Amino acid sequence: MIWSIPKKLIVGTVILLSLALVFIFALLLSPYKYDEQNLRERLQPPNSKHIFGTDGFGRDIFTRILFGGRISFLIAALVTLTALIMGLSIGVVSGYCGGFVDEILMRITDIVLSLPSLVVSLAIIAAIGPSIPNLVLVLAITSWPKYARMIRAMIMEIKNKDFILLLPLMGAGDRYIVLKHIIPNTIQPVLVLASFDFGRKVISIASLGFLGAGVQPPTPEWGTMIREGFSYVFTSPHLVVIPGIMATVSLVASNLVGEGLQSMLMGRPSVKL
Amino acid sequence: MTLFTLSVVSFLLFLIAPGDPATLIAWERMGGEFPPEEVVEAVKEELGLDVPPHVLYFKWLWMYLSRDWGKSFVTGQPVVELIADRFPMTLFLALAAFAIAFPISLLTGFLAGIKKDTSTDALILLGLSLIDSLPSFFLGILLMILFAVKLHILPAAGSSIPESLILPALTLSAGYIAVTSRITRASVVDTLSKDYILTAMAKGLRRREILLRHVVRNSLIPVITYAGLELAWLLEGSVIVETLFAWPGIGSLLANAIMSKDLPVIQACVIIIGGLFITINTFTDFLYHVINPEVRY
Repeated sequence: MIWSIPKKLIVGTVILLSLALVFIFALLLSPYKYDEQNLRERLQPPNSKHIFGTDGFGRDIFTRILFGGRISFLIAALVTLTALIMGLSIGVVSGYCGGFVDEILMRITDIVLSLPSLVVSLAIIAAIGPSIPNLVLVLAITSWPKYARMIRAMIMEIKNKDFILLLPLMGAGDRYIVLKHIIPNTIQPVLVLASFDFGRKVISIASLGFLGAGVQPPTPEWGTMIREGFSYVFTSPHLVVIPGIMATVSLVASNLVGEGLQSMLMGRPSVKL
Repeated sequence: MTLFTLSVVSFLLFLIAPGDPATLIAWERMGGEFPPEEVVEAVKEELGLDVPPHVLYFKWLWMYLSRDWGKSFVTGQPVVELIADRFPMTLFLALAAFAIAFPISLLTGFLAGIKKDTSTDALILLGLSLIDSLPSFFLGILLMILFAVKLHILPAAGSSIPESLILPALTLSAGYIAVTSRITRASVVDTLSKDYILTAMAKGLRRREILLRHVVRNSLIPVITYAGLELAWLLEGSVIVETLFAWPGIGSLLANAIMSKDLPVIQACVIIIGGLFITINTFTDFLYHVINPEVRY
């Protein structure tokens, strides 16, 4: 079957992929190092030597954007993946087992879902420290419930369909049913959610960075760059505007991918998740 | 139940934080010298910290309920006072944002809904997704650059009312508008497709009358419940917005406390913001059941 690929999906994917490629090959694209200071050339507006200008320490902003994007995209991808796996396992167990197990798991999911995620992440990070594995962990902890709920709801729906009910009669075990029939049938909406989620995680990382609880300097990260550049907002606004634009573009691109995937896979007009 | 989890989480902050509290206190008393083991043990015994964690938790909970929230590690001020100082400012900001956002959301939502699939609708939807794609810290910075740096009409930071309130409240309201307008639009579209609207049109009622009497009322029900739910979001959003505009509320208190690792203050902020968040959620859920008893989860 040939699907007509929605324009949104193409545009979003192209933006995200090209950003990712540019970030991966950051070393080849920039003649500077991200922590190379040059105090004689500090706070320069964008020019031919530094296309995005320089920051308060004379560091090249373009280079820092590239390396910052690398960190952001890496963390966001890891978080989305971890949350997806956590949500998938919990959702499958909950939906497939039902009964008491379902009751307990869904209660836990509801509790996590009703905690304010940014505040909880901030608090946990304040206690365990803002290293990159910790950031991934904390963001994944606050993101998995959406996946778990969605997967559970879908499993409840297909569990009683004839083709699943007949599988045990063929001699199929639980493991086989879940892996070969249930997961493939639930994965599409989950992918849609994950594409929306990727951009949101980029923003969460930047928000944490802006609050000083994200990736720590001197490692560049967009939110941290905004935080550092904030004291120059009156004189050199490019210090904060450029990382802001990058974060926004990533979010928009990831939303486009999500909406595009949604209309392609489900043949429905896009609904905001 | 959720409140209980929140309290356990914030209590655990103390346990998982690096550095044992007794060591910290002993260290403080020794005037910054590294305390020997016996002193730490003595402090533990004195403060009653030498008990298993679950007993400690109940002790801590009891202290919290009796309004003894400890003292800030940094300023030595009682945390209760700090919170009491800052909390009204956050509430004020959230209410101001709500006052800006709610009427705008209703207006744009209704307009888009009754003009569904026209250019007005498309324009509003486009505007909403634009607002939605701007992360709040970035939107705030843009507003600040425009109004404070370029135009010099409004202050970039501070706590004077009303000038300093406008920019943070606008920033905070953006996300709210994006979500609530969409919900209003969806609800209006849904109401318009109902049979009683067809009946009203068949009766020969004028368009204005149908809209005011039937559409507005019926489509408001879901909007109001969501409006409550989103109100909780304003509290969370205030952490970033307050930090950005140096608005002296709970959000900026939390952000500063995190920078100085001031655990008692962090704990109190988490409990206050989280507690309110959960209370609003629960209340909205309850309200939803009252308005629409058919809903079962």
